[in-house]
Amino acid sequence: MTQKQTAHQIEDIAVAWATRLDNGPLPDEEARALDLWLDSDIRCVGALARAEAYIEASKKAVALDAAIIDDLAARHKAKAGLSRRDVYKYGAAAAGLSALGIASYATMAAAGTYETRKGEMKVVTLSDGSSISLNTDTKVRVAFSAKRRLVHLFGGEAMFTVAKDVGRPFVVSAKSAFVTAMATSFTVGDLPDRPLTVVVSEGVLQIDRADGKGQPVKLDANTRVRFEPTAAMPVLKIEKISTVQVDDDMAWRSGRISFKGETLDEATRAFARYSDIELIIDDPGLRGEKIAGVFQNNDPVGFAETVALSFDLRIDIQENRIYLSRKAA
Amino acid sequence: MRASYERRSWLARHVIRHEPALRAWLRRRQIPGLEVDDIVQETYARLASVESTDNILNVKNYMFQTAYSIMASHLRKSRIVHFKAIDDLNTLNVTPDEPTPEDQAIHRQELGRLLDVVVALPEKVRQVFMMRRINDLSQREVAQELSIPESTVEMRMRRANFLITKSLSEDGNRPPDASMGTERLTRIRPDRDPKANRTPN
Repeated sequence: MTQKQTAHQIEDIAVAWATRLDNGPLPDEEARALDLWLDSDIRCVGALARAEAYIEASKKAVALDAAIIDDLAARHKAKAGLSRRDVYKYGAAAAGLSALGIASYATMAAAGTYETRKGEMKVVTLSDGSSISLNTDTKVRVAFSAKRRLVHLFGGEAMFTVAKDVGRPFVVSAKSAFVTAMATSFTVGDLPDRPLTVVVSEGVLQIDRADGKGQPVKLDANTRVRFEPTAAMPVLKIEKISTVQVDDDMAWRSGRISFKGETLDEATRAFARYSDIELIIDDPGLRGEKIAGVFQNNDPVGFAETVALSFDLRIDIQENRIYLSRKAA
Repeated sequence: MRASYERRSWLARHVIRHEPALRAWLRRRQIPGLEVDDIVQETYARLASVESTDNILNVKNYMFQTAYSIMASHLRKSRIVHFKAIDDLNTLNVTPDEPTPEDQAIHRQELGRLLDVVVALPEKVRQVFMMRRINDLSQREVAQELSIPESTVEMRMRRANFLITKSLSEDGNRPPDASMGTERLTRIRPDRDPKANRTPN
């Protein structure tokens, strides 16, 4: 050894090799060069293992939402220009980037039942490369066969990202419908007191009614379908929505909840899905107030505090309840 | 030798999360002529080449002990007694890993950190990183999509990997190390890097 390499030099080279190895096997000549380098110093072995471990860890980014990253990055840049009011308005998202509550982990599965508790979120990677993101309080059962990839949704909300497999359709069965897809991504929501809802974010899919009646309906990207229950049979209500709306609908995937003009009443009900902490607003007039902002969905306390600040309310936080009321004049 | 896929996943899942704490711990007992980075690299080398990880129940403890023994062997070689460095051989009471029930919270925390780091990447680097990792495009596909040479994509990806490693391995609260920060963080264009021919390209 002519001159001892510094740890910094080693790290640079290790990251370069790790980046290259991440693209696939090396050509023989490069592989030999790598071996020589690894043999030159024990630290090289460690530095490469370390760099590759961090690359492996960074692949968890697949669970992150690109739209949200772009949004935060833009805001990150403009952060200095945000007014105090904006900070309140954007709640957790703008106040501190790391405050974002993201709970997800991936598991490999071909068959089995997966569920999330209140406030929990989970990403399940299936044997065919498809994945299911389970929102709070959701249960699915995966039953793949040679002919089709069947997933039952037993309540809750889940996003399906379907890997292409010609000849083996991906079918989600929920309450009153079968949703069939080849390669696409969509969300099915079966929430209490709400109509069954399907949102298509990518690709094309087909919806068949579970009772076998009526024609199958084909849907493409940026479409939302609601099964409005009527006396005899559900009626499909189809509407086109914007990409931004689709993204807002998916905000839960990164632990966020997004409001754009919803009433406080609607917002507190949305929070109730994610935790057992009850938000109580006594004043009916107050319940009708409209709000906008992005919040962390597992933090009803933070939400209530932001609301109290914005509307100048009295807040009373108890163990499982938060009361919001107008300040006595 | 390069670590096996299993070992790399093990390192990714169980080891790297303790690196910020290890670095902080090592910094408090710095030895002249021996950099924290040197010890960290050697620690990873040992963890990468240990026969089996089955018996390592407390990863954090094992990692710290490995680092400690590396530091101690360098000390012996240097034949200088640093009381401060070795005085707490026995006070190495590292808090044990808390496995399963906390896993989810740890995951959430780690993903949150990763999000912060990705958000903070320089724009072009972030763009390539997201296309590779979130849209799952290959290096070639990214190059085609952006109409730039594949080597540029690789360069940006290398940059992304470097910055992510740096950020995740350091304590979030700690400002970047002045001794390396300025010099290293400005080295964005490996083309002009005199050492470029020593790296694969």
